[in-house]
Amino acid sequence: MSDQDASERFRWSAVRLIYAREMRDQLRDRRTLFTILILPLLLYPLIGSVLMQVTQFSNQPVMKIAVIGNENLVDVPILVEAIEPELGPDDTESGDAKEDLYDQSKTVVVQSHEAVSTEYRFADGLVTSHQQMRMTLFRTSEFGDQARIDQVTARWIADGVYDVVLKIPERLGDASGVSDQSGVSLVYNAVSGTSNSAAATVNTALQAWKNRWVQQSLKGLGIGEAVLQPFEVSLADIAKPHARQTLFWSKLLPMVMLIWAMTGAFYPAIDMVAGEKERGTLETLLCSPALRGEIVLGKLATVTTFSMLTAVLNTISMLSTGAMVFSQIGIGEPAVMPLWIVVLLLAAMFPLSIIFSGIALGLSAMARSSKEGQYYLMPMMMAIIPFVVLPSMPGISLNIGTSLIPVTGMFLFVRSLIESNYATALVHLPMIAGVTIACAALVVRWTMRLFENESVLFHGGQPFNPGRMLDSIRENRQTYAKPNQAYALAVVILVGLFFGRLMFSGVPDGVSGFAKMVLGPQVGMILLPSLIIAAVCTRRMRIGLRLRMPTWNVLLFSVVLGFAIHPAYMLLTRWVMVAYPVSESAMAAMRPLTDQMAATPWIYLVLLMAVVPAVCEELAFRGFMFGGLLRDRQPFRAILVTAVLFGVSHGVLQQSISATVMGFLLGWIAWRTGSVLPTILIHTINNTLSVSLPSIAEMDLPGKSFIFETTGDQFAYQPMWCLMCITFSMAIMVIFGSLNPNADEQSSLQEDDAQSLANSQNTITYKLAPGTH
Amino acid sequence: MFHVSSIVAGANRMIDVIALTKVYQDGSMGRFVAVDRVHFHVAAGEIFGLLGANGAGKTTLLRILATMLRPTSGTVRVGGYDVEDSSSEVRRRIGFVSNNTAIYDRMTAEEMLAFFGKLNGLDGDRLRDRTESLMETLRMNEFRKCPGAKLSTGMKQKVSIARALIHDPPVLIFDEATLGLDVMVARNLLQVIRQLRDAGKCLIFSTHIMSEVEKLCDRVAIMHRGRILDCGTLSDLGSRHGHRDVEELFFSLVTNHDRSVLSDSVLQGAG
Repeated sequence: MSDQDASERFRWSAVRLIYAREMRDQLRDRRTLFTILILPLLLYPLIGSVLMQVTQFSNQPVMKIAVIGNENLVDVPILVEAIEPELGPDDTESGDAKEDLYDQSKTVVVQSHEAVSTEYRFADGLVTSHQQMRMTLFRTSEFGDQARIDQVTARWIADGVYDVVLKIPERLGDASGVSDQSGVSLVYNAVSGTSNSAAATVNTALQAWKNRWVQQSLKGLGIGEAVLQPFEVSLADIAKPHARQTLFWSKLLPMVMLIWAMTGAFYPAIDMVAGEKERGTLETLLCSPALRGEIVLGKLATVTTFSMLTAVLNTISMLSTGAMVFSQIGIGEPAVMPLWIVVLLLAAMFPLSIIFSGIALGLSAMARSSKEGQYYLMPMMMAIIPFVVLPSMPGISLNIGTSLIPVTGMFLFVRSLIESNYATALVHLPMIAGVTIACAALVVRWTMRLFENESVLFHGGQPFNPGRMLDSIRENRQTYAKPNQAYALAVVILVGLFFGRLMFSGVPDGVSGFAKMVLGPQVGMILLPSLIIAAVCTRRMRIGLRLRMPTWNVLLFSVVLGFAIHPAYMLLTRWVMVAYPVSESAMAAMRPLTDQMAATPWIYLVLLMAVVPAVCEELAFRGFMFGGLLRDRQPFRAILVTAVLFGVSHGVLQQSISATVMGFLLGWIAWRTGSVLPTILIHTINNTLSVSLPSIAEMDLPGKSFIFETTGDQFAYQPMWCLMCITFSMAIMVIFGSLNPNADEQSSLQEDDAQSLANSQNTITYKLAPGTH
Repeated sequence: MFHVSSIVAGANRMIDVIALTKVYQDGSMGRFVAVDRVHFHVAAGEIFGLLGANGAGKTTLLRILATMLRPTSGTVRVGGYDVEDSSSEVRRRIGFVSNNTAIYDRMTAEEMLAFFGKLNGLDGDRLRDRTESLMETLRMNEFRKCPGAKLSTGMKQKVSIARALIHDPPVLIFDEATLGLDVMVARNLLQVIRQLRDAGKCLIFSTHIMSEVEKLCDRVAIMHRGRILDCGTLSDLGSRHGHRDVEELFFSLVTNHDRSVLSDSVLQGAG
């Protein structure tokens, strides 16, 4: 057997060989070269020059302003002046205009004769904008009454005759200074961009004019200008030069880089697998001495190289042209992107690039032709883009929850470093690294499996058909879920909870609001998916959810264990609080919730905080998922995985840690007892005790001091009681350890395995399935 | 253990196929038996023909021999190595030439040979010597620096054969290798195959062209719907079934088989 081992040995030289060939092959491909090298070099200068042209031409359309009632301004600073000084505002009246005005025809193109020939503008220094404007003046008397003014101006704006209409009431300029009118008004259309900006320009001019007016009045009263400006504010920005641009780029760049990394991965991947399938060259490679793993790694390395190359070249091209174009247009100074940030981004990109490349290779392996492969690009992009966009959304920052989201966590980490939040970044690094490595490993393993799968490689897999997929799941229903179905439920629950928490967040409104907040995620995001998936994938829901009835002894021991384990649980949560203190702000944010809890009647509290979560979470994690994972015959892995998933589902770091530890214990009990009922009991009792302790503390029970101690407002179990309880718990666990009630579970598993074997091997083995011969 | 069995069965036996069955499980088509309890042996220095219509299961059978597909049941050994347990060892001992010539478009003939030679563990002088001798025998020198996309079908087939021969494997598998070749090139190919037999190689050659079988094969297996209906030298088969002509022989075997299957199923339906 030794020479067999030698022949199956993994050779890095073969990986290198395949990598070198694939690289050379791709670099000789004109299409690849174009998308990777030429496109980025040409694209951004091209976009830049088009952008510059467009801004030059469409730069500033002429702003059309109508002013009604300028003649009402007497003895005040000049607001509007004629460009030809001999024609004053008084000369704007025109007979033609009047007739037009009172005409009820639908188009109200009213232009007085003078308005066209005489040009007006705001008085010197009132307007800062360089935009050209064409101003038309009307007298109030031209319109008759106020209602008529409103009607006509509204129509002007609606029809786009003017971008903005400035109405000055008759007595605004009264020397008395007391006006019974509301003041000047601007009519504009917020929906229209030009109208909006025109209104803003005119408004600025009006503010400046008002200041002049005030100054003039004060001067008249003999008061100096100093009264108006008692002090000046000087702004001192401590941010390093260009820090803002850097931040802007650091938000934009990851997004752009990721999208390019995906594109860069996709086309070579399609060519390298689906294309080779089509050309028949994959076959020759598969019957060469290269192992499947060597082939996959060689191809993966090539795809990753191209993915990174595309991202890097696009970044360089975009940054350099972007800086030039922006400085030309005058939007901002040339952005300086420190080299270390670029390097950091690239380092962060690398593992993500591997993930995308793996996904692209896998999808490409499933495609029967390169054309079919192209169709998979969009869905892949759509699936990944939310993770890319999420980090740049306002209010999203690095915390325990976001650090666990693949891709997102990585970019929040980079942003934290750029913002100099080194401590936050480093605290979350292990989580982010763990999630990223796990994702990359999963993707690579998935791809390897696809390459091992002959029906994928030689029959191109089946076209995706949800209906048939559901049918085949229903046909192959088994007693317990399959491991991949268990993982699917975990993903559904974690994603559902993420959105569920956002949906049901906020301060609860009374008991019913509180109930909604608990029941929404628990029932909607945990219980419901579990029940649906169990109904679809398993033969009998009761068994699929592991709702097997244990012996009464086991139930009794579980109740006792529920009470006995609680002191240990309290110790654990206290230790977690010391190790990872909850921040003041988080405490403050939770205050309304804790207040609400204190105000909720005890029985509701037990129902919402103990019974409902226990039932929902146990059925999902220790029920369906655990049953599915046990299929692999590695109970400790099943316990570990469900415990971690259970912990992660809690969302808050402190809760997650203690929940994971509890998850180990509950998982072990679920394994030993072969049922989910004992863990539901323990979970319920544990949570009930946790929410009841404050009320128990207030009660005056005999012998309370034997169990509890009170120091200030702190309230805890007596050390002696803790010790007793822990000893007692251990004894019960020894009893559970000696149980072997999962015998019938084993037989069910064997039945399932026999059925899968029969399904895959048909004629030859179906006779082995129990009950069929 | 496989060494022992190959010694017992005879030192020159290179391919053992024992009770091989291959079932495809397809979501849309359901279960499909592509190869059904097939049994044969091929010795070194022998050309073994697999004659069958399209869809008879020839390609599936050859892909199992080349370790690209796994048997559903049964045993297949190549050079004494099991295709499932020692697939790498098997792959080191075979050269596979398929009907689509499977040439990398953007690589030259020379580069192709170098790549597959290195994958098979050749390098330096050994690789160079082997490449030169193949270029010489297959007369490939004038297009050795041409990229694959620019080669004619005949040239491609030559490169493909050279690729399969680069590591001098004892077993060669030709899957409808003459498909799409013109008469001249096909003749050349058959010539090459004969030379390889004379050099002591074990050759397995699938085709649906009767005349090729007549001209080339030492022994023939007639394959139909996944089954091998009969197997032996052409004269054995002719005397056994009373037909001297391969075409006649093929049709009588196939129609007899289909008739018996039909009557079986009718009987079963009645029962």
